[in-house]
Amino acid sequence: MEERDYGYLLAHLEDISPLLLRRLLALYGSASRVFRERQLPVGPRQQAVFQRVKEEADHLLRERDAWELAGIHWCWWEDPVFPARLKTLADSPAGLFYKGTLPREEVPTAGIVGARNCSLYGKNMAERFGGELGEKGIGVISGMARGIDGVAQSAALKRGGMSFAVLGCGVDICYPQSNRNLYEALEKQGGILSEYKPGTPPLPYHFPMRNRLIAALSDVLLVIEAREKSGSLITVDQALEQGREVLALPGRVDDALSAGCHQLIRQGAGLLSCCGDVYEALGLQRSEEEKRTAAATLKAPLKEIFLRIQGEPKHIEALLEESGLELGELSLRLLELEGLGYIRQVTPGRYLRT
Amino acid sequence: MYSEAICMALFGMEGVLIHVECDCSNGLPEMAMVGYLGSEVREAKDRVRTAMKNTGFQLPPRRITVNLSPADLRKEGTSFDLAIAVAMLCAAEIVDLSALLPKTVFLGELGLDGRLVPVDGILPMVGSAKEAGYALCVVPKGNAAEGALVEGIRVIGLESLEQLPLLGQGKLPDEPCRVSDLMKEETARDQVDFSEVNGQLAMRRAAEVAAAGRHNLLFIGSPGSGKTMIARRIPTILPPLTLSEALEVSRIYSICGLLSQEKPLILSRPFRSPHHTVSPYALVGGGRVPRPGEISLADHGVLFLDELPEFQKSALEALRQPLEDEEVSIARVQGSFRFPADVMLVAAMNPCRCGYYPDRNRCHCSDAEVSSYLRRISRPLLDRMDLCVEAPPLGYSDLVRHGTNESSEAIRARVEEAGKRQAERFRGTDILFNARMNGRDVKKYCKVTKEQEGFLKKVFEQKGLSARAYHRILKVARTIADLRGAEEISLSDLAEAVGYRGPEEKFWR
Repeated sequence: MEERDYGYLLAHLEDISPLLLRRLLALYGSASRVFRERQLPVGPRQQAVFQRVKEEADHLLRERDAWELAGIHWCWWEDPVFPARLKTLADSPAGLFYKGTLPREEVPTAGIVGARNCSLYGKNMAERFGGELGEKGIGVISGMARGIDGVAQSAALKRGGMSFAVLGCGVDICYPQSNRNLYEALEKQGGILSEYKPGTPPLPYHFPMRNRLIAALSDVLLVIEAREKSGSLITVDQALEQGREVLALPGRVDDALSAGCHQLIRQGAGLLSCCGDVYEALGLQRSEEEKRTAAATLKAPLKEIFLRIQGEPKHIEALLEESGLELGELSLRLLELEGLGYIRQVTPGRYLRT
Repeated sequence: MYSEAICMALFGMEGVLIHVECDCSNGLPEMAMVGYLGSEVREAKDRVRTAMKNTGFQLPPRRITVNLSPADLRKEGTSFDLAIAVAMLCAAEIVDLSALLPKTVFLGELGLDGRLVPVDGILPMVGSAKEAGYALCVVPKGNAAEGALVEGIRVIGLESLEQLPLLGQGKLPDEPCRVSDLMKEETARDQVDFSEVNGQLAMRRAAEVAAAGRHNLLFIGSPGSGKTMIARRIPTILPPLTLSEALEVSRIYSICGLLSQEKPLILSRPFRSPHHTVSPYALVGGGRVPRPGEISLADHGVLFLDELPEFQKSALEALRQPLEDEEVSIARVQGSFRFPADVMLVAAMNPCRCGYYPDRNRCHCSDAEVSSYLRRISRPLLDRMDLCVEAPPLGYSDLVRHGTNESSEAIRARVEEAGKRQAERFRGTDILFNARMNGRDVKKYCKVTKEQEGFLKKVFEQKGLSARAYHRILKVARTIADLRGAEEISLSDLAEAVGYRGPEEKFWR
């Protein structure tokens, strides 16, 4: 057996935390030495687990090899592929299961998190930031959850970027099921990571744990939409603890879904208004082409309509009254704007800036 | 002595001739009724005998046999009473109606005092009697006005059995036929009017377009945004019923016993709004001997389904065939029954369970919940909804807005004009309205220019529309052009039609 195999066995002692394992390794020098010990300086329960792992060692390793064949890889601290960003984490997991690839050190990453039940505004923004960052070659880290997470990651992949999802369950489980397409695409254009063994169900207490990994893997963390008591704020706390920059997207002041973001801004988080803010936080060149000013290039009749549509979904009824146009004429202009990519029809009657 | 009177049983929309044969012979005094009778017909025995006794007709103490022929057809309903009484009185030689019997149809239920009680389905039965070549129909007085709607047959209203001798002597007057008078009568002003609807320009417009081309219409919107209010007012912008339409509607209402005795002709467009707990049979019609359902009662009018996703799936699916064929056909052992069902379907629904999506400050439904709510309506049904509009939530200023809104009358004038254009265009075909065009007709009547073709192509790629949606857009655009009074479809007509597409096209992802 190699050193790595011993590492694998030790990393999966359920009752030995990553922190304790680190201390043990420091104490004995290497994984194989720890493993060969008869009695570890731990409590009786952990000792019993240790004993069991020793007995089942062959079985556990065979299981790992079988996963390997199924495309589920495992790496640990000592492996060169192990994300360096995790090494600074006090309670970094000893090993990671992953499908696809792992984020590389030299590629900048941005975490995008937010509400699951997000508004159309939030969805739109997640799509915009996820897409543009992905296109720029910045790895988008998130949790593949419904809402903001999934939308941002899908957008990054759609525009040819890389994205990595950290799951709160085994990497062989697609949770939530509705993100099946994303799950399959991530394997090809990025990776799916988890510190939990394949087959582990998505239990509620796993999610705060996986949030710390999202925070650790991200060079900068974007919060798109969060209620005042949101799981995303756990990720933010973790990110701050690890010295990562946090950017929060403002919303309307009376919007409950943006209350968490506003709270963050009040506490000193950066203001997220365009991708330039992200590049700046990453220490990259602020990109010149801010194409949102494109409104200036629009011709008169279209521009007038475009200016009336803001970040909130606008109903055609309101446009009808404000513009004084006939419905047919208005529809024509809206279709034209949509064709040019300025706006999007989000429900049968509502339009939104892209 | 033997005698025979004729009456009718109702099967679907038609009356079937039933011969009531009666024989008085020597034997123990007894009355026997045969001929595959339902229990209410068997009970006629006691009603008829008691009614005779109370009107002073003394039946001889002889053996009386009554047969309702054809004997293999199950008889149901109470309209046979009068014919049974007539046949018995003639067979017992108490009343002499021999001159009338062969060419007269007797319809009506008897009370124990000999009074004639009105029955359902007089209008279609009198119609069938006329078709079968009978010259006279004797019906209860309460049904006389209804029976007299049929032209070309005499109808006499009978109040009680006592009047039978008078009938035999030809002393009872015919009920006057008042169809043309009724048609001319000022239609009772509708209870509701579009001028009561503030704002809601997009929904008003959609209602107008839908009414003009008889397109099916779907409203989506949060609670209290006026979906039901507008739907109720759609019949007021449809043109008034024509005589043949009015008669057809009245026939259906007659079968269901919904006609008034004084004004038996339905003149206003039906508006039916069944509750969402309605069963499939109540919605499209059914029963052992089928009766019309809500969709037939809404014939030539509006069938409004409020809270569409709450309807039973089976009820909604049952609507598919009638919507396509404009009639309901129900097969039974006795044969196939057809009821007209030429309706304009208007449906309303919330965008999600709580009703406020996409307003995330009020709606906490997850995306999966929203889409599963929408998925309760099957794709084939959505495909039949030509227009779909989203109702914006109303602000306070909309509620208290003063100033005048367009009245139903003004809108109806435009709708009628568009109707005339359509009638002109479809002359010589069996299509009446744009909504009824099929794929081939669309190609023939909805011509688009090269430029428009390019526009449509772009929109299609941009929005990922289906082939079905293509036809729908063209049909609706045709109606919009008709409303403008134009023969050519314009680009803005097409754009507006594209705007009416439904929730099936990958919305609410």
